[in-house]
Amino acid sequence: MTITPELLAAYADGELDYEDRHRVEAAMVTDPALVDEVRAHRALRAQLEAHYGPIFLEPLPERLLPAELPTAAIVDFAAAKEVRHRRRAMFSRSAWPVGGAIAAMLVLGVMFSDTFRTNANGLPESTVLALDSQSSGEVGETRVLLSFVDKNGSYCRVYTERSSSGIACRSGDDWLLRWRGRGDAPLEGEMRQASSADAFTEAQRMSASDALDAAQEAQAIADSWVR
Amino acid sequence: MKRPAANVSSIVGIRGRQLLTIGFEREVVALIPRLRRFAASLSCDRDAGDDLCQATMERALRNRHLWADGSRLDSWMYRMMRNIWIDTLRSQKRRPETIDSEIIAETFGAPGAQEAVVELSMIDRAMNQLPAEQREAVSLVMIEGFGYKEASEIIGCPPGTLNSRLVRGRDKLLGLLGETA
Repeated sequence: MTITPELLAAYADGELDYEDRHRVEAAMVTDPALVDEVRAHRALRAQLEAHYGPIFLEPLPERLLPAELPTAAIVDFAAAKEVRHRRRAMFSRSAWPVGGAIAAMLVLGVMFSDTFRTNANGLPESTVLALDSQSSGEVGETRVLLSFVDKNGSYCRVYTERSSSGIACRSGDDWLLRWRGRGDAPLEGEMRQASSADAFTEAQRMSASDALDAAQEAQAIADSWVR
Repeated sequence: MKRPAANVSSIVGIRGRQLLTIGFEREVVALIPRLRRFAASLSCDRDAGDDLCQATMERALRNRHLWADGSRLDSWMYRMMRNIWIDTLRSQKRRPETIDSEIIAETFGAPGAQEAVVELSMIDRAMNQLPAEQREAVSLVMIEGFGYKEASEIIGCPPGTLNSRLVRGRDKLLGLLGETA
């Protein structure tokens, strides 16, 4: 069975079902060129995501705010209450699977405490390593998307992993998870959309100014994220 | 001139209508950063992107009655932006093989767009060299993070077509970025 570039791209983007995924993985075992192609695809994706991500932190030009906007600022308690209700309903629906996942992680954490070693704030060591040393847009198990300075003057970094995304900020000389969202892998039956959009939106809320550019970020890495 | 004080029943009526408006507008405004990003990757520079974004917002607010409540607002607006972009390319030049980013600049570009072009990064320049159909495929999947199904619905093509355009666009980008790296 030949693996077409289309099939391989779909694999790299997490679009394949179980059967096709295993077919591609079996072919990758014997053909290293396929592995390289998947890696190049994902590296490009990470590069593009990091290049366009900082747009989220830029202030909006006035012409992009609808003229009717002032009416949107009217606080309507009934509407706000309805939104809260819907949110609560959403959370309560998902409470069980999340609880289950946390329980499973705790069990795994006990069983494989070496593999799941965390920093003092509960972040996995692999994530901490990426936050310390990885530039935005580099491909890896943890992908850092963006770095910025929050309203308290601390460095923060937006990152995404297979199962979750997050925003971690410097607290003392360590990283503290300030926000957590869903990861790259779509949930079963879920409509696919930008998983990073939620994280970028949150970063926009937290940030004091624009994202760090590549030079500023390199300097921060060299300074071990001490301001 | 001051408006006359409204009586209670008319306030309720206005409030009722405003509720719909407010919810819609809030959600549209919340989508702006994502739409700006999409516009930036389609257009040749940031000013042109913001112009495209503005045109999309205006059309969305004008056509809010056409949006089916309960359907995905993001897909609806992405489709709208994509269509405005394509329409502009087509109306500027009827020969599809010569579609290029400068057409967008001429239409959407604010004064100063030419200087901005000079400051474009390697990635912006590479994206601008992709044919429109490849650029939108790369943008929706690799930058905006849509699944193939959602991206193909926004474009209005079968998922298989989206998949092959994505691969061609990706290969061209990798070639362009590899050369200059």
